[in-house]
Amino acid sequence: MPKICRSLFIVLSLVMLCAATALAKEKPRSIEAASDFDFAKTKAYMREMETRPDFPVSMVLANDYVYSLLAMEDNIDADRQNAVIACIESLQQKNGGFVADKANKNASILYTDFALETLGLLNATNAVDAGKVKSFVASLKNPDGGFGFSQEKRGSSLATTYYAVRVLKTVGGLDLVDKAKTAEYVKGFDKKAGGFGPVKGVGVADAQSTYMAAYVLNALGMLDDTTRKNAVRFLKTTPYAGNKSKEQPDLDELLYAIRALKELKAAEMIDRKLANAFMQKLYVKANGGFGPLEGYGSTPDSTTTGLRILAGIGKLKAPAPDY
Amino acid sequence: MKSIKKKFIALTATLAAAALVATAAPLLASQSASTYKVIAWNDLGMHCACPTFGGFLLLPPFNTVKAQVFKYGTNDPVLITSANAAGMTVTYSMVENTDAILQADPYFSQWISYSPKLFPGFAPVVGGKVMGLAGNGIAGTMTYDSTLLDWTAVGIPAYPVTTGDPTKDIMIDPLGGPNRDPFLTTNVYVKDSTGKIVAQTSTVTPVAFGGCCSCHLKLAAANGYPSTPAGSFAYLGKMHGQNSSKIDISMIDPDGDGVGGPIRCSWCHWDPAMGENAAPGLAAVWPNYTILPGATFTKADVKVSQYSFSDVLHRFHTQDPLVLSTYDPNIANNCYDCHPGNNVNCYRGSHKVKTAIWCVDCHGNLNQRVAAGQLTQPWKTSTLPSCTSPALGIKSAFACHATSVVGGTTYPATPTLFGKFINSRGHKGSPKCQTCHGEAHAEAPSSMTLDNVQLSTQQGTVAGATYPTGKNSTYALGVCKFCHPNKTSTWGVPPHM
Repeated sequence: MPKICRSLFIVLSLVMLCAATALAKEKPRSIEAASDFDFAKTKAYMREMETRPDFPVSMVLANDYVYSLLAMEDNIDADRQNAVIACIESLQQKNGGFVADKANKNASILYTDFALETLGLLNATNAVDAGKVKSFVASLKNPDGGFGFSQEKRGSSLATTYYAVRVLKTVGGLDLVDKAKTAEYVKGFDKKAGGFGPVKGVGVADAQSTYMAAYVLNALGMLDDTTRKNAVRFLKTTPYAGNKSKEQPDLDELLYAIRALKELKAAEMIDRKLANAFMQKLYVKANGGFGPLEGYGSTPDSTTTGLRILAGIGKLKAPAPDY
Repeated sequence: MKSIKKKFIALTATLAAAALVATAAPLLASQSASTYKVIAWNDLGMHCACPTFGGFLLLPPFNTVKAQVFKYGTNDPVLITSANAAGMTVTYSMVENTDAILQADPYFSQWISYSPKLFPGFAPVVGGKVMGLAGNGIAGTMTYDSTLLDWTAVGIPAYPVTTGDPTKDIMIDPLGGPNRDPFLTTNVYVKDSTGKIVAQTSTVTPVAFGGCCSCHLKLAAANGYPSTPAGSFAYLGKMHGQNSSKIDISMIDPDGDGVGGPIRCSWCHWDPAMGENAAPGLAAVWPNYTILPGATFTKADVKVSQYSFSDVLHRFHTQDPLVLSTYDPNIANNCYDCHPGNNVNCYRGSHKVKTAIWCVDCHGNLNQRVAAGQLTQPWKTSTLPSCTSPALGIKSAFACHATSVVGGTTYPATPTLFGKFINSRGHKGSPKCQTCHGEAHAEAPSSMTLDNVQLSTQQGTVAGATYPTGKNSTYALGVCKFCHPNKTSTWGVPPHM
């Protein structure tokens, strides 16, 4: 081989190697990589909602629709986007909070979070008055450092405090939080065996509560190393971080474990193989959706959770903002 | 190749279904020659039953099978009633449920142990035979209802069982046991005065566990209780004690054995599903009940609630912050969280096959049902959806069937025509909607092959029956000759008046 050709060959090989490396890095994030699932069917399943005269039906289903299609890199046309935005706007109440559907009148922090996430996915957060949202969240603040569910149901919980902090972070209102007090409130949900549970004192830890606590503490800049290590210690005992226990995986817990491990800067511990295998078990070939439990039929909610998990393990591209 | 494979799968499924029916009703194929025809159905298309009964009773084994019998021969068939039966009887017999199987079943055994306490005076086994709450066993004689114009066996103690056949055992046991068969079979026989069978059929008798356990076991563990039915009952009792009643139901000991439960919710919350217009109150059922030591309430607190069982159960789950923020923010629309969806699917009929209609389009979602006041009058006919409109107070996103227009013909509406489907009639006033269209929630053609077998087989007995393009024998009864010997054997939409 002439020298010039050899040099050209080497250069080309290097270029190809670099390209291949780049592609290899991208590969886990592409839909093609997730060939275990027929996403054309999944898209069609989620798009069935478009045939409904009351599309997009409700706050949660609007969120399901938007997240799922974006995660599968599908296009949502302008009319559908506008329909979703108009639906969400119509669900905002005078006090600034949002309700689940038109039959509801009492705004809650839960559906306010759904509203902002969905609008965020469509780059339309400015469609709602952020000031009113902040006022609503501020009205839910309790002396114990936590936040309540609604103005009618004021008691604090870890979950409602998590949603409040998430909403405030989205609308730039974290200054409304008494950081030390809220962190102390959230840390009260920790368990001796590590991790956090939904109830103070009694009971066991779970991935959902551990994620919620870690998120709040991180958002407030109050996640200390001891708390982080204790939380990771608990997650190590779950099947989602490599523990080969007989415990059956749970769809929601799997998602929250993935989120928690990322929040705790321990993403390398995520058992991606287990997650993918479990999602295959929940996959319903007949319509491309995911069921909430093995053997169950698919629902829009469980399908969206399934797609969030696949995005969490790099099988799909997580649409921004990814919480 | 793909097409051949699809056809093979379809053929296999059809053969499997045919095999099931052959087991259930071997004489069905000869019915075309008989003078009588019988069609049977389950009243709701799905019933729930609980896997455990030691703590509290949510849903007992209680299934209802109905049938209509017609004499075939003259141009119009004659509805057989108790008045013109001339000694004929209509009997039923379950296939997968036998007395021996049910009495050996670990879950049904609990029902046998606890039901006499839940329903004082009730004997679940009489002379070795399992009995239901309404006095019917798993085989027996159906009685004629002269108001509803059908033969009925109310409250059959049908219960999902493990058959060992993986194609039938599709229902997941939330407590970790082996899968069970939720789509049971009931054979219905019409016998003449000598006991000779003159007509028979088989119908699906569905009964399944709900989805309650999957959340409540987790809830118990999260709150420091064992993740078992007993732990779940203890925590559920504690939660009940935190509501306005202050009563921890797990601390009530009706029979004085020193252990909390078993509790029947409808002692205090009236429950029309149990045939009650008012709750009797605990003291009326168990005058000497005790409250376990450590309870924080007294007998003075144990009162009859003004709220129905259906109301408190649904309203709590759709409004409680913990349920919404920790377990399911979309529970108002996710009926299968609680109603059988664990590989079972209550809702599987033609509406599901042909449209994007969901449960909530006809019944309303839980927020809508609360707002419309439906839950203050549960199980009332007035709150049910009909063919022409959704349930009381619900604005459907979909257009329902136009009032009294069927197959392009307009018929006058009457109270029994185009009514609530379940107990309405049409076509000259005798046939029930379900006789021709199949079970509610599993209307023909159903997405489940087994549901379609009865009508398909019945219409298949008409020699030379033909169907318009896109339709076949799984559709609602429409081959005129099936009932009218002098009419066409082509399927069509019959007059509904």
